[in-house]
Amino acid sequence: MTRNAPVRTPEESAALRRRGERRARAALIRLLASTSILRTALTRIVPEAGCSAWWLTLLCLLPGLAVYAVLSLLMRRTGTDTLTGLLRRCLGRGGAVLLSVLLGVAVLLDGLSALTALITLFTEGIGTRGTQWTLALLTGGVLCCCLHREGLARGAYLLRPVLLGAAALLAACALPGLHADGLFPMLGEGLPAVKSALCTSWSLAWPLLLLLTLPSEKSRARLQDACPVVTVATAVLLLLALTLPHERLTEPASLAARLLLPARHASNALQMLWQCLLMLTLFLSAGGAARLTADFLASPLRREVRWLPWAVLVALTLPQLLPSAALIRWLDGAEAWLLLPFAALAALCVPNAVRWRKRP
Amino acid sequence: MKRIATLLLMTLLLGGCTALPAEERSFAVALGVTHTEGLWTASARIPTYQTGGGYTTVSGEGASLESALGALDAASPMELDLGQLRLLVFSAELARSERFPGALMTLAARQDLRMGAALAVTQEDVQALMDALTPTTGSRLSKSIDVLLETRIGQGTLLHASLSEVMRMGERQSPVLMNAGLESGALTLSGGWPVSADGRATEPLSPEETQLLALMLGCLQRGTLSLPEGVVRLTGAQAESELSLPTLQGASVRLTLQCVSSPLTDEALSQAVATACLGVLNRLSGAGCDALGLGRQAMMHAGDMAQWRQVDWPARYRELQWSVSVGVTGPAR
Repeated sequence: MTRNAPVRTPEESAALRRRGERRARAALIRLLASTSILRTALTRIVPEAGCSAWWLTLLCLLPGLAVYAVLSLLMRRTGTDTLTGLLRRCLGRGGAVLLSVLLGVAVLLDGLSALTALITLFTEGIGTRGTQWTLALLTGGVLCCCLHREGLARGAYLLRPVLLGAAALLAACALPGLHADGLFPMLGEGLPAVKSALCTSWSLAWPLLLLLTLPSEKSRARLQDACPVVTVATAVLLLLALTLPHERLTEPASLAARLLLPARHASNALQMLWQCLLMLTLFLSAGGAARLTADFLASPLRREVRWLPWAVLVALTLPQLLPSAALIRWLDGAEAWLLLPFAALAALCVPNAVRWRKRP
Repeated sequence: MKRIATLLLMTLLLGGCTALPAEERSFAVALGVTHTEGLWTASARIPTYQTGGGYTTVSGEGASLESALGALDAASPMELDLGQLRLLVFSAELARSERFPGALMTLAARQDLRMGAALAVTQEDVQALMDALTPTTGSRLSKSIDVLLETRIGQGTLLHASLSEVMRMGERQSPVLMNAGLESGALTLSGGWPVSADGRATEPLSPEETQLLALMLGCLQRGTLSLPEGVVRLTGAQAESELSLPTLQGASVRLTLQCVSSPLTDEALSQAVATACLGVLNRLSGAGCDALGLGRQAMMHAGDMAQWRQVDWPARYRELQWSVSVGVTGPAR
């Protein structure tokens, strides 16, 4: 029995191809957003909030989700299907250019954080031979080979089952060691620590806004697009709280030790699996950030700038010449405010979007 | 094609970044730590990799545990790797001192150390104990120690106490560390060392007392239970402990035993087990060792850590009023 492939018109084939590219892009953005949120939560929220980190992370995601929801509503009202379209309609071409630059800078900072975390993981966590700079050069060199067109996006899309499968295996192995009292005391170190974590991490959900740069397959499914990212981050933190007591979560530790904490008490094989998962996601996240930054910065020019991805890669790699502690401190400070410009843009769009009427 | 060629060339560089190959490392199976007269000593039992097998002990000394571990690294014939560690042995003197919690934290902070390593305390000379570590079953020491641990834990004369478990207990539960000794020049593991809330080991429990504690923890469900009145064969056991909330003044332990042979009547057995358990609980309570983890129940009623500290659980635990009830279903006499 033979099965013939369905005959498609060139238009149908092109539409299918576009849908595939869009899904691959969405997978890359979700990976970047999940990695960014989880990395920030593990390195900034958990040390301050301890066992309350899981719900505090949800709370820190709310400002970003609110901006996301407002922008989605405005897009629906103005009949635009991307964030760039909304800004162009509400603020003119200048608004769209400003958005592209802001997104480019924000994603570049996120990529820099991911790369710094990856290099620190190599040097301090796994104990790989080599200095911060040589490992940055090596990672940058490997990234060079991955920046070809949509290669990273397709890679992220194809690796989804592998990444989720590894995460599910780690979670399943952690289940026998869970203790319900790990969630208590609910307020962790108390209200001052909660306030401090909120102040430093209120921008946590800004990467979700990247999902708005893609046309949605269903016009009313914007919030559903963000759900997997929020669910993954919350589930990991919930498991962490159930596995380790508050006293252990708030102990002073290096960035690499914080990233390795979720599997620190697991068996050697599971620790290795977590390290591989971290390395892969951070690498894809840094590479994805380089690709997206180049795309955002090139979009106002309306033509492909072939050298831009390589320039972005150099911009990601060069800061690794700085001492890692200073770099991490500086990035933490900058990342705490990344949502602000997008919230301001949303506020600027509201009056125009409310006044906007569809022409008959 | 150029990119693929570049990528292949770059993979050649990756070899220099990897850690050492396994055959160039000394995988320590056991680590002994002592502190005597201001001097820390760390000893590791490592395989010699010579024909016919064999193990050797290397040691390092220093003014702090970190420096002793550094000296141990330097004394090792190959790069020392603690990733396969099975047993961590501390001298009783160190375990009873205020330095002990800090020593555990230092060891737990080492990223290369296997957190599943069992924690034991010994009254013997640690160096002699390390030298006596040879496989009693099979040819690998690690497997031999694993088998011994599994057997004793199954019998209830030893409680599971790995570095990971102890770290994960936090302030909510106190561990009972394993008791290591030497008998006819071979390693023995039985009995336990209760650790108080301040992190120091107290007076050791006998294997029989440890068995009763294992029963109350639900770790001993079948096998033989040694009582002063005789030996009972259990086919099933269930345990439940409950803290009286919110007063935190009392705690109850309920045991249900199913036995196939017993020298006592059901009522007498119930009474004997209850009395023996009460004795163990009072000992633990006096030592400030919350081995049953009642602190976990207490913690669930604190709003934040400040409230938890106000509760002063270690002090309250010492004053708990215990009640033990034992139900027996077994052979009619």
